Amino acid sequence: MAAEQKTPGQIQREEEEARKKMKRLAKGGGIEGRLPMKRLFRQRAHANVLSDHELEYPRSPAEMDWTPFYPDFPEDSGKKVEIVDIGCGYGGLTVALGPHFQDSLVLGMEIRMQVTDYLKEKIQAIRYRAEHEEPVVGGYKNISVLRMNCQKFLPNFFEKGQLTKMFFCFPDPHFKARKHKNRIVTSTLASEYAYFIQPHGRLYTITDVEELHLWMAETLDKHSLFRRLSKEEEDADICVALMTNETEEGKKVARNGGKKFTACYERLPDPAK
Amino acid sequence: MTEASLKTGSFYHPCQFISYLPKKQLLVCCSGPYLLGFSLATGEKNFEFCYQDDLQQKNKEAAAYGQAFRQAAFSKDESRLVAVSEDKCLRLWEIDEAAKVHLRYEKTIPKRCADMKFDDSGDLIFGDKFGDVYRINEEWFKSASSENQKEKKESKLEPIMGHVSILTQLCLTNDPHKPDQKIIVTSDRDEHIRISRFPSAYIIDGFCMGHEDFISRISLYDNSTLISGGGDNHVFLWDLKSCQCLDAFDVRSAFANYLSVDKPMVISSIIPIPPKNLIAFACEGIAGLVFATVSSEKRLTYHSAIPLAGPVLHAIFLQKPKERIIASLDSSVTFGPCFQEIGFTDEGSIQCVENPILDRIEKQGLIKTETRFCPLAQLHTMRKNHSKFLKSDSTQQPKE
Repeated sequence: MAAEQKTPGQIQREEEEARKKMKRLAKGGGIEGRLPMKRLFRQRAHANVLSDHELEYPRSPAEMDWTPFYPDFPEDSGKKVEIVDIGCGYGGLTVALGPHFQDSLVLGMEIRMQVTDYLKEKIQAIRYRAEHEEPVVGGYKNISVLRMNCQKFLPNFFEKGQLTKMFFCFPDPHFKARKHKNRIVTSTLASEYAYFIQPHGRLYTITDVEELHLWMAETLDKHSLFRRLSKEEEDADICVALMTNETEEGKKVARNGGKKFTACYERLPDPAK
Repeated sequence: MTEASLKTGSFYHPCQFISYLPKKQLLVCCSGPYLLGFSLATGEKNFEFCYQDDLQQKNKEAAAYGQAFRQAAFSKDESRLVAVSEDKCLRLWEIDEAAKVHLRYEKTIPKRCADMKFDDSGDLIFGDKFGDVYRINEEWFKSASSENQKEKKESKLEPIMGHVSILTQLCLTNDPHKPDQKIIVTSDRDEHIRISRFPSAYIIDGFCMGHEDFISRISLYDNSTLISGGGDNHVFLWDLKSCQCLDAFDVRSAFANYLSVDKPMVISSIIPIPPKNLIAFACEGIAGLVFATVSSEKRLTYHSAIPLAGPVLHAIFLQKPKERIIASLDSSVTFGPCFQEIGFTDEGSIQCVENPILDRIEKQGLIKTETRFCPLAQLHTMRKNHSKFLKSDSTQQPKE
């Protein structure tokens, strides 16, 4: 989608971004390891997934160029993105996953532009810090963030069975019955997620809203391509601990003394034809 | 507002959708609020169903809009006919031996229907504009009559699959890997074509990726080849086995004689003609068809284009008793004919043919009117505001 004429919307957006960047630079965020200030990137917690955001996406996964996302990750490794954090928000989990899975590419995905920008700058800053101040396993070279609508455009980025782990942490609860279709875990979307997760790969959900937890668990329990992990299996999985304790939302819930509900699944192989 | 409304005169009401039942030689037409059936052998009208009898007195377009029949589908044994109207009402008719229809059930579906097909077992598969695909049978229709609130909740339909987008079309066919199994192919407004197994549609076999704007039409050329077209300048040929693109055909250049430079195009009909190794394409608002030859390596090359007497609304290929195309034209713009037949000569050329039977159907069977009963469904409205195919001065409605 390169070098085409820009739509007025794009031009406006670019101008807006440039202006914000100037503002941020003036306050010293995002350069040379200085962490961006979250308060400059606030955005309301909801985005309508059914509307057409001016998103950029490739026509097919083969056309996607990942090098700008992982500039320092060895290119000859031939690695593809394997771990995705859907609706990563301010990226607590994405960042935490980096050192634990230093050989895998981790991608956070978020639909809200400001929040994505925050995480972009944060990753830049922590990469710089890992290199110049205190070293971190993997140096955060394997993590990145992408602005996109995961309910619509996953097929544009990933191939069949490419992912090993998919995280759904503290998703938008969409309480109203007529908004249930907008939820991130529905029976129809679960089929799509199953397509991208390789057999025996895992899907993780966590929320502090019990009603949503029950809905997600019921939906996935019913789905023939997923098997619920037992309590022991959950406890043995480092990812469960990470998403419980490292997500920004998870920390907030803990601060407020709220409950967290997890439901984790293994992707079963497709039944033979 | 438009030239058309300034002009006065009467015309036969155009048919947005036509369908053909080969065994019964029955041509089914969705003409505004009318569902009409004609024998193509004799030109006689087999049935006429009007959504509402007092429609003639109603001149409010908005009220009439919901009553427009958008699509019809028939079961393989040609014993059932289903039609859906803009107001989401699904009606099931039984077709008897004499090709007359008897209304059996009517029931409202939750969202507007995008496409529907009967599967081999006689169940109806339909996709809605919310992206979900459902499978229903006659039991579901029956349960309509005995409903109280509680039962209604219990009988809530569960989709067999779904897109988070507007679904545009669906196709059922044999699995190219294993012919005794089925697959369902669905397309949506967000450039995706999905291949899932059927009936276990929760198993996705693949996606055909390559379109740059919404997909309005998909059609099967043969058991392993799919054709797709939409709001971008190319139509694609896909191998269903590998989900790989076999060829992309620049259909815009093929339509160049008809299209103004800045007007974006929308494929409104894809007509596969396997016996002739041809595929015909119609474009919304364009009075003509473009033909492309399919080579044995599944490549598309331009064959010819033929002008027609009005913008093509829908076109179908009939194999028996003779090979021909019937195109339904927008007579509300031209005040001209509603149907045109296109035949194939032995020398391999394509030409319009006079058909007295179609003439008779039009003059005696279609409804004569001075205003359109309801607006036609428009495909170009699916285009996104930031689409690169939408140039600044093409946002206006195509000139009517």
